[in-house]
Amino acid sequence: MKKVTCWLLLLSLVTLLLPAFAVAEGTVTLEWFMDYAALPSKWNLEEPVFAGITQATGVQCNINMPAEDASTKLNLLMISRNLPDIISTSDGDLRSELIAAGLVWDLDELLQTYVPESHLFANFPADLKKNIIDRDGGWYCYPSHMNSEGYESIWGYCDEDTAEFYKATKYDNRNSIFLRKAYLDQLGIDVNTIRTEQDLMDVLQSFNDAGLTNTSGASVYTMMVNGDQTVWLTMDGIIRNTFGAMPLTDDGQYQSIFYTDEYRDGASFLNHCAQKGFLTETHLIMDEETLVSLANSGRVACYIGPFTTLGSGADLNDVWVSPGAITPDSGATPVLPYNAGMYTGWLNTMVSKDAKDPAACARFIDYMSSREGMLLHMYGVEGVDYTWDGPCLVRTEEGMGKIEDGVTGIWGFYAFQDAYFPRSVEHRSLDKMPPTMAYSLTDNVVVYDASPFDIPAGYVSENEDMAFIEIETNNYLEATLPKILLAPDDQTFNDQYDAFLAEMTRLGRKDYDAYLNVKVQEAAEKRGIELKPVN
Amino acid sequence: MKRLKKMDLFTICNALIMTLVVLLSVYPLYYAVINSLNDGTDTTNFGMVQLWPRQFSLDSWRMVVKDPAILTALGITASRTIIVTVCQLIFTSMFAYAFSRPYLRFRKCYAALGFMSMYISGGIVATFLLLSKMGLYNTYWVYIIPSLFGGFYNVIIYTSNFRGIPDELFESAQLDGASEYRIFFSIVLPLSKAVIAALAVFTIVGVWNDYTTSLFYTSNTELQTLQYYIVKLVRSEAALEQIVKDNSSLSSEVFALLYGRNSSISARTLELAAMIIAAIPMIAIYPFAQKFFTKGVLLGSIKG
Amino acid sequence: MMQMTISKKPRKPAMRNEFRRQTELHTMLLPGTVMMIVFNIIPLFGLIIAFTNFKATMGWEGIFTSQWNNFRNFRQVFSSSQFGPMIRNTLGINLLGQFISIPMAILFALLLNEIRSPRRKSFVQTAAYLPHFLSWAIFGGLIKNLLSADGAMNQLLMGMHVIGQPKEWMADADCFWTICIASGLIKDLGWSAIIYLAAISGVDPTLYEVVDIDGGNRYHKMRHVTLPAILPTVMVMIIFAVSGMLNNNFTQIYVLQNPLNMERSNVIDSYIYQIGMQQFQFGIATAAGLVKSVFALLLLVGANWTSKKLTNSGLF
Repeated sequence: MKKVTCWLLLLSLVTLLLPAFAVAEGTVTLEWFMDYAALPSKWNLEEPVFAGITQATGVQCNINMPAEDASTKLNLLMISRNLPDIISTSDGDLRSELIAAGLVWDLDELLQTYVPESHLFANFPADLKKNIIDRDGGWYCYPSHMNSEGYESIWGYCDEDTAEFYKATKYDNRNSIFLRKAYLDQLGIDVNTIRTEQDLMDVLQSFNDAGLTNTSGASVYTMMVNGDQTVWLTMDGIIRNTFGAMPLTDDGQYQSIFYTDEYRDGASFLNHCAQKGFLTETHLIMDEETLVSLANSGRVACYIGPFTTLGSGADLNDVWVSPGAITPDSGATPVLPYNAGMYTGWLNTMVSKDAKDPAACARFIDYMSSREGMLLHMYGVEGVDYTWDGPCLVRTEEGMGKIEDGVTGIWGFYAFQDAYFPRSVEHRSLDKMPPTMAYSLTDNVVVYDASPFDIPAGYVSENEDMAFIEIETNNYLEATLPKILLAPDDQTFNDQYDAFLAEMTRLGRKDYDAYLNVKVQEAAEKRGIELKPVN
Repeated sequence: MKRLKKMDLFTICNALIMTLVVLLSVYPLYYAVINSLNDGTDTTNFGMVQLWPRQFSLDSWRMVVKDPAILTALGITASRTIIVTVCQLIFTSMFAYAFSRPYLRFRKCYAALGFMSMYISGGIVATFLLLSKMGLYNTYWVYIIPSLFGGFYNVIIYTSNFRGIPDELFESAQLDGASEYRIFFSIVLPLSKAVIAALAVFTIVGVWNDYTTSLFYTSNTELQTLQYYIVKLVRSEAALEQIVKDNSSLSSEVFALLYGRNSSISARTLELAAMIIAAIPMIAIYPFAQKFFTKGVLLGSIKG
Repeated sequence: MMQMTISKKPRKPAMRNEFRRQTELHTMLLPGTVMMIVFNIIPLFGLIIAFTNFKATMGWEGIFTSQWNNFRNFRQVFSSSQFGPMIRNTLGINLLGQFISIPMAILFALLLNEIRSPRRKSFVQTAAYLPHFLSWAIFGGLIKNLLSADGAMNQLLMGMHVIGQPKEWMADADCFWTICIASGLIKDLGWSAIIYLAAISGVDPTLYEVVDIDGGNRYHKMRHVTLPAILPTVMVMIIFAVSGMLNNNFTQIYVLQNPLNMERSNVIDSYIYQIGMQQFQFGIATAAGLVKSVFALLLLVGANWTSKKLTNSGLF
């Protein structure tokens, strides 16, 4: 036993002393902290992507990506005044905290000082910059996956088809009512005949009565919702929109959406499904894994919710169809919230004021956001991972296999993925309208600008009372609404719903709404949007 | 002469109960193994397998071991476990021995200190600051130095045990002029093999499975422990799958750009494979520890 | 005779000897004491956060310079409208859970002890301790699978004609405590029994021989020899369990929880976790932790006192 121990100790000490991957001469090493990425744990100069970046910028990064609880870790680093050089975080509250405390560089200043010829001054769209400045009080962050029309004129589309594609799918809405084509065909129903709530109910009833089974003979669920996320995904994703609910009072003040009659109607629809037996307890406690496996094995006839839950294979577009926006029995008009105000980024990258080499940080950001840099870290090496076919590039087999593999770094630097750049190099064409488009293409749908309802990060959490009310009421919502959906009859449903609203108010939700209203009105005024409910 | 086997009612019932226990205990692990050997996309699309893999695939296991970083992590974890366990055993039992002597002065003070340290904690912020100031943040020693002492909980367990050793042994040793150290090492420790083995098992498993130290107190990937490496591997897969489905905060741009991974692994199968790989050493050590749970350790020492 | 008995009064050794002994003992205590002071007592300054408006951006100096906030963090811990149900669930799950699992672990250890063949004994012991290594994410998923409407449990019960229709067990809030306790039992029975097995192995075999001579059977042995011998260990474990009344296995609850069983599955730790997820809330997490610690200490003292009164053995 002792011998084994000794050998084990020796072995472990030896492994500790194993040389680290070679550090290139004359490069600066930066500490880069991030929430998400598909990168290897070490900056591997043997891989062309990393070597290319280091060659162009003289920078290597120590990638610090905690397995979980990244925000706590960053908080701890903040407290000990040991911030990493570059910080990429998806946490809005943390971002606003860092900015408010003056711990990060203003990017304009940083670039002016160290990289005055940076392409970013020309290539960063003015409208996005303005939005970020509105959000943060200055240009402190470089965002990822941003959505801005300004980008169209900077990167453009690589060819006509691609331009067509993106224009047509502008209102792609992932949430909808989806029906499995095979079962519709089996019962001889044409999806285009489903126009109203009653139509849908009839179809569900037919599914139920037909006693459907899938190819292996297992029973089929007439309908399916997002199980334990029904409140957040199903109700908030699609039901409220189909039934025309908007989070406004009649005179244009913000209110929590469940106070509206339209939302109530939507809940009532689900309740009717439950009364008829299509929706049961089993549905409301189901976790997503089970849901996905059921849907994919053909055991779901009608799915209401976000399409992304079902997976991401292209063939899914053939399996499911959507009737689009059905008209509720109440006669309300379906709506579609569209965030025309830009989406200001998923990961936001900032440079710490304490960074020892701000010049290196500046060079790094400049390169990673440039065309050359993005081609490298998003697509790889020309000739090896992709080739040019006219104005558009095509990935090679090898290149396809390397996407997000966490080894080569290709498609792994999420913090520097520009949402529009791929449109300028990759060809997309519109062969078929995916079912997710059906909703927005329905005639009577009204699209409304939902950007005023984007509450700036940190606004709620910096007010402890409001943060508290938010937790309490959200918990109450989560725990109570599913029970109400299972009410045995309309009378009980209405009584329980009334009691639910009363309790919400008692818990302080109205005060919370008033608090949020301030920001909503501000934002609406700034954008010149009139707040008026459609129904 | 062979002893006749007594097949009385009790033995039969016991056998039945034990069989039930074994089945209930082994099935979950079996379930984990077969699912880790199942193709990931198949698991996502059709659910977990109950009895046998539907589509056999070693890819989840490969994914766990393919990164050479796992060897470094293994080295760190193994060395840490051995050093910490040995140190804890010595320091904690020594402390407990002294604490268990009824003639110890200031016993109440030590007890108060012990219970305070066990129950009241200053929280992660304070601990982090302390370790930073001590220069332990992001070094190998952060795994060793704060864990040299096993905690008052273990002290109590040892103490209970030590108090049970009959006083005659101590008295005769003291009459012989033996020091407390001598009594501790030559009398008390050998008689406590069972409890030491038990606590050693708890300590080894605890240290082996720990990942929060890596999470909060290191940032260098050279220093990650095995468990942390695994958590990271699994989380990054799971996080991505989650983001693709996150409806509320992301635009369709993010979704469009985060391609679904095609693979034959999924977060689920990966998690299972990793969990099993990490657990194997732990499962293997238990039979060694069991050797100490034999009866009659004390037999012969008094009469001698 | 290695039993765990109560300690008897010691005979006092000679004077100069005594001084030497005390020194030796105190030096033995030294490493542990230093460690506890450095790593457990010094960080207690962090408790200040529970009483102030500290924010992470203030840096560490902020811990000492931020304003006193009038117990606001504590009020928030107590003022949740769900506070009552959370306490009820926490205590319910823990009390019932320990009430069942401690005797079961002891019983299991006793039964295990009765297995003649050492190889079989070793096999069963190792097998029983396996589920401990599964994470709750996996084990909980398995449980949910088994208890679902088309899962094995329903099939079994219908086959035995106990119920006519499949029941969605996880949706029934009243079943939650049972499910939680039973699943915890399966997972940790073997693990918890380890300490009792170690204790049992310390029992002097000659005592068993005495029972044999008196014509007793294995039940007598258990009742009169084994159980009294391991009583001190059992009491220690019970006292610790009592002092841990307010702590739940959060991972387990998180996995088994769903919107329909919330009223029985919401525990204090879930709430603290949620608050902790919000930024700026180190204060509340610390306050909640402090409250729990104080309660735990009080429970500890109470349990120890009770144990001394009832069984004459305790922690100190």
